[in-house]
Amino acid sequence: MPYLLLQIVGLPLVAAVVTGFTRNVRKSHLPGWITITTLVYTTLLLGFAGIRVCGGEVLLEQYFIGPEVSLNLLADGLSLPMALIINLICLALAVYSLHYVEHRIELIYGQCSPRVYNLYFRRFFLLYLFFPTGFMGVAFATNLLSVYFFMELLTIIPLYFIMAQFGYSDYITRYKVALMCLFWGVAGATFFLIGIIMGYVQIGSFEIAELPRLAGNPMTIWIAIVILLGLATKLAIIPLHVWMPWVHAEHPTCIAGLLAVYANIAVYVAVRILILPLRNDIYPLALPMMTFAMVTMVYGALLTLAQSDIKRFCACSTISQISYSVFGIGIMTAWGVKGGIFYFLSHIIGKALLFSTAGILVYTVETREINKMGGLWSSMPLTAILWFSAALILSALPPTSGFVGKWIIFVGAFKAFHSTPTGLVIVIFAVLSTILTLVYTFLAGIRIFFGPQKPPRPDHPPTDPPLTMSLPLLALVCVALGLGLYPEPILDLLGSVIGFF
Amino acid sequence: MTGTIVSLKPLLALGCPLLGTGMIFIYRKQPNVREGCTLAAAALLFAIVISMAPPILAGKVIAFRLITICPGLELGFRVDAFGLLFAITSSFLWILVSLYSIGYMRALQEHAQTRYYCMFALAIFSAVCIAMAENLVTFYVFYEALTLSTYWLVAHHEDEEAFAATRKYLTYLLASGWFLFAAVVLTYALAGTTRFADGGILTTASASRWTLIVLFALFALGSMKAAWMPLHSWLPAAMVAPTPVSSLLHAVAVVKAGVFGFVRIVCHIFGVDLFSELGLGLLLGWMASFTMIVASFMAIGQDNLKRRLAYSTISQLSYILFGVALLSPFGIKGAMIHIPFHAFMKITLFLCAGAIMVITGKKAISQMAGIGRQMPITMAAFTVGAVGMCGAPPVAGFISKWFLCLGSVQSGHLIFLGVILVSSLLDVVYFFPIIKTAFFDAPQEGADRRNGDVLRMETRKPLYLFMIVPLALTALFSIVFCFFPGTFFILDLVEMAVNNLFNP
Repeated sequence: MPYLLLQIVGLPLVAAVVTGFTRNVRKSHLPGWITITTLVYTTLLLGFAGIRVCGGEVLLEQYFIGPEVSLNLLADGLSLPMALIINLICLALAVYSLHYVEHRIELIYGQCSPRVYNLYFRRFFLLYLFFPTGFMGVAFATNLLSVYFFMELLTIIPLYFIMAQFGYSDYITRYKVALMCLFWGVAGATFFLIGIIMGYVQIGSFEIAELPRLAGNPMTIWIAIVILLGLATKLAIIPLHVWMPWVHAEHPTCIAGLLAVYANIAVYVAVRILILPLRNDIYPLALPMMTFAMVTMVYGALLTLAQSDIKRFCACSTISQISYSVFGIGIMTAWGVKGGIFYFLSHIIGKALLFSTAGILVYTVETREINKMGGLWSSMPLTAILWFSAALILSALPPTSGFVGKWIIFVGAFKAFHSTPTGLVIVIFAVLSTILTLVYTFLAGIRIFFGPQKPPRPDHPPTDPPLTMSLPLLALVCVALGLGLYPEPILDLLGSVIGFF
Repeated sequence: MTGTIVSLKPLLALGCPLLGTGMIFIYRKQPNVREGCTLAAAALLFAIVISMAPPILAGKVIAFRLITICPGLELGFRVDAFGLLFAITSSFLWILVSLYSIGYMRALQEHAQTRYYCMFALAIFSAVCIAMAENLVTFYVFYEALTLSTYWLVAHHEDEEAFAATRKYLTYLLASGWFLFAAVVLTYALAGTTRFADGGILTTASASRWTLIVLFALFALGSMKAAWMPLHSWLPAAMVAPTPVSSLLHAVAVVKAGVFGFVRIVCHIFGVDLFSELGLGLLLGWMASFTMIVASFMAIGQDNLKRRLAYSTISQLSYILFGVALLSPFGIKGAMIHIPFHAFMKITLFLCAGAIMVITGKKAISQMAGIGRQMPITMAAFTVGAVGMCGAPPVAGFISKWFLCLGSVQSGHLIFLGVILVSSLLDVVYFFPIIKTAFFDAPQEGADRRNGDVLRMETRKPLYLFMIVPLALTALFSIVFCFFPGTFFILDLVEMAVNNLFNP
């Protein structure tokens, strides 16, 4: 099939333009269905590409743009599984959004005329489609500038605009938080840009394939530090985590799951542009990275325990969970990096589930306070199952994908550091701190779903959401279980790229 | 010499309690059919488990690999002599305790009986999985499953006290599960496998001395189920559960899974040679000695019968750790044989405590004056159990103590011989006052005695027989084991296991 990867990256943009032109007299879900159709198609394309990559092929498409800048797209064993899972999540959340956005618009803009309703509905999905484009672009890009471009695209278009228009607080706060998110995003990206320009000065190229030429250069470690600083802003590593709870709490819940992807994809970027080409030069950074990650894991988890707002709860959990992946790639061995990326996939599935389940709760119970919920098990069993599945995935218990990820990360960590006392202590602390995830997810779940019933409106007990909201989430649960019991294909794919050191 | 038979038998065995759980749930509306399912599953499980004994005694190993998820993450079952010993113990006692449960739960008209039987079956399932685990990963997974399934049993009464106890229970055991996970991962990173092997899988070459000692510390913290002091306080707290639970789970399945794991770790992960080379034997020995003595002292002070038994359990579990720590053939033999023998004796004691509580409503020892005349069979069984705990003939405890004493002589640390003798003396101190109160003190006038005649309580209702018969049987078995330790192949299996350990 020609232009396979270009279609995957570009079609959502085309669809966004098409949605912009839909007009309808009555209230219509058409833009949503256009989005879903496009994503189904690109997911199929990714599956097709996946079969070819599994066969040992590396897909490379070259599109020349200008001097130093290219839009070459590369699908190998590292980028493809990640792109596939992310696209699946985008698809699931698009289906989930259909109902949710309707509810948001009614909540923010009241009982508006169909024209205004359609305007906002269209606008949401138009912006939503930038997510898949941005993610796929970051995954497949082979040029540092295009990586930068796609990361900025993700920050500016969907994050800023969606939040400003569909957020939770009043008009002023909404724009304030959106601006803050923009500032943090741009600041991180600027560090990243400075880093890649420093690299360009040394080797005269922005191509990722040229990066190994930096090896042995005394500047490399500084370049790596600047780039990592930029990425750490996205990853919300302590002390650069301040924006995360705000942004997540403000976002419409249906895309909050994608925010976790947005933050976590920086792990992939770090692997692609630093660890794979320059591993030996930046190895001194391994222990500091792991230490920061370990501290963030613990701090994020404690922060989560302290939350009573269900959306901030999920946001703080993201801070902690992303650090598992950072810990994994910080080990800088084949096991560690493989585990870090695998855990990244597991985390985004789990977090999409957790956030969306929180969204269901906000939607049906009409409050965000965990303290005002209780005993919902009897009226919302399906939601409870979804919540506890997400809890299982995030707390990395068997038989979910999280367990496999955690196992690989920590085997890698112990293999690399069992002989140095400091390393051993850090790794043991990190393993033990993972219990905090179990504590906070299950404690919150028990408070929400068990105990005395606390529906805010006793005359109108909450019920399970419509199927368009729960079915895509159940599908994600199945994906996580599948990855937990049969992770071999993905691990083999990752191994084909990472396995060499 | 040792061959491996690939067979579905372990899976069939595990299918019984699992299928049983489903059947119990399906027949939740018909209590008689439901209890019939429990009994059938228990009997079938025992039949399958015991049928594995002859091939294993012929020197074979029965194995079945279920699934390999990724390098290192394997679920598989492999039955060897030691594993079978634990499986036989828990599956046989499940039959008796199921019978007992019928009497106990119905006499007290407990709520949520279906949940109780379901979770009981799941707990047994996990315990048998642990017994048959091929590697540490399988062991870890079902170790956690055991914690979670017994959670519901401890929380059974759903009152303030029960929830407080379950909080403690979960805090200790889940935290310990995480230590165990860390230890499993570290083992895999060092040895490249987690499969149990007779000579151990770690060597001095696999890591530095300190790393191995850290690994052992992680394993020890991961084995809080063995209730070694000072990390024991979840066990007395868990006594709020219904008595059949306390008896089977907190005398057999859960805590025995803890010590079973400990023995596995010392013998099949570290290996006896490496363990003594690292000097960990002495450390473990002192740890166990401390627990044996201190727990006995704490038992003396308890007035609640079940709590006294709980402290006695803590003390007795450490006999097993103690035996392993000696690292001599006789010591390990004593440790392994104490797993089934202690199970039978302690379950007798717990069942007696439960029967007394149901029939007379008494929980405190100080109220039990003259109860031996009201409930002669129960108290006779209790006496048998207590004598066994003290290690006196003609009860099974004598044999395990004999081996342990021989083991301490064989290991060359004579001080340990002193420890075990002092500890069993303390057992006498806290058990015999109960027997004296029961048989030789006069019952109070009023509820227990009318016009000088003591009321016989045990046979007042046919339902009580469901309790009296199982406890009489376990007492009987405790005596039989003393004269014929080969019943259910126990002695043969232990000898086989120890033989494999020292001449792999």
